[in-house]
Amino acid sequence: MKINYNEFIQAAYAQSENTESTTSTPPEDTSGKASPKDTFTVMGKGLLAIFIVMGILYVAIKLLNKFTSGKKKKAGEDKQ
Amino acid sequence: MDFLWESFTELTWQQVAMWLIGALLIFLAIKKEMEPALLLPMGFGAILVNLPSSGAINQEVAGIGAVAGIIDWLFEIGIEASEALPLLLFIGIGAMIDFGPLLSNPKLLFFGGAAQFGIFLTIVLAGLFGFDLKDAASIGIIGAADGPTSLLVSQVLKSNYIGAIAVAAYSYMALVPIIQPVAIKLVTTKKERAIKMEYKPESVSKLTKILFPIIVTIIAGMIAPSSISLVGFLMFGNLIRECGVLDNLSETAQKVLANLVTLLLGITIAASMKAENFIQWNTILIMLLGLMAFIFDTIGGVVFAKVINLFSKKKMNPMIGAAGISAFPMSARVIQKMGLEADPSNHLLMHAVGANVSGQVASVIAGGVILQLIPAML
Repeated sequence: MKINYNEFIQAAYAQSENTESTTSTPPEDTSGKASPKDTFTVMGKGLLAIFIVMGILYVAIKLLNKFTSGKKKKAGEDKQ
Repeated sequence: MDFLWESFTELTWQQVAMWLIGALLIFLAIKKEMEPALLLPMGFGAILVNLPSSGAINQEVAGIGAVAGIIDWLFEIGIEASEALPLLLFIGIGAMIDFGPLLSNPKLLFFGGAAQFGIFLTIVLAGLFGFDLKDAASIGIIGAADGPTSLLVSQVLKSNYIGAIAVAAYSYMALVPIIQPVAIKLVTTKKERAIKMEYKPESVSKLTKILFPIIVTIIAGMIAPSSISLVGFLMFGNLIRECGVLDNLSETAQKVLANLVTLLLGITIAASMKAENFIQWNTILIMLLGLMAFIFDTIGGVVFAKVINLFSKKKMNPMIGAAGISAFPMSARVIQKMGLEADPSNHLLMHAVGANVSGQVASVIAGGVILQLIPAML
């Protein structure tokens, strides 16, 4: 029996209502277009979150460098 | 004897177009040496999955029933199930990164953050072009300039365009030496590019290098729990490198693991490059938006540095901001080269490397933040 690849795919679409595999599901806009309000909200919150995390990491690294360099100096002095 | 030419009658023009795209990726990989480790497997995989009734993908065979294909299986297990392949690759990437230049000059962290601007601007642009929020976010994350992050975010958000996003992400990463100089010259003068910077790093102890990946994981994980897998695996690889007692594992992660996963990842991504998903106008739009993401990442980093300069007595070279893009180490090399072009005595490499590795951290945090924000808004 001849198998038509395209017919198989169409049949698979009809049968795969419950599957969400992106390898065989056709592109389908199910959640609507992104509004400018939503995308600008993502932009604002996203950049703010990144800078907050970077700020916290900056403080953490400064403290780490301060406390561990203090130990290095002391180790150097003890050796002398 | 009909079975001999059955496939020819089933062949569609879209599949032939995908063969050409696959051939193009292979050409770029071999002849132009653009990210060959990924573009070559992706290109060959694109051909494999676009042959009629291809046995490399799942098929329904008369008289037998469902037959699993290896590429679909690799995709289901390696990417769909838990994003395993990108995350395992991150262990290798983490083991390759030396955060020393960043730890010795921690203010470079902010340039890594600024250089993620293009991700979010592209989300806005994608929304204006009619994409839904999850697809817009998946397209925007191309600007992370980080293949595993792009794959993971687009897969978790169940984007319909994983194939196009993967091709865009890896292609533009390879094109950083072409994209960044153009973007930088748009927003800087030669005088600014010639600004010299002294390199006076703070000393960094071994303890700091060991504690850094642990602290990053905890902080990023508490703020954006969705980023824990991304950040955690990257930092796990880095901890293996820095602990000093696992040299064999570190070498294995950097070489064997990274190469093995890369080999599988490239051909696995091809599962999302089937003609019916890839050949559509949106693919061209995604490629353009991905390019915008890279350009505006660069511009975002440079402009941030210029803003900092307004309030600083000691001026910094604004190109360092551009190095905050996550394309490591290509971006750092681009900045070094452009610095030397502006002034042959201007060596910016160590500053650029610091910003570049900061971008690696910032990009995975950006991915985690997006995974945290978007589902709540759907």
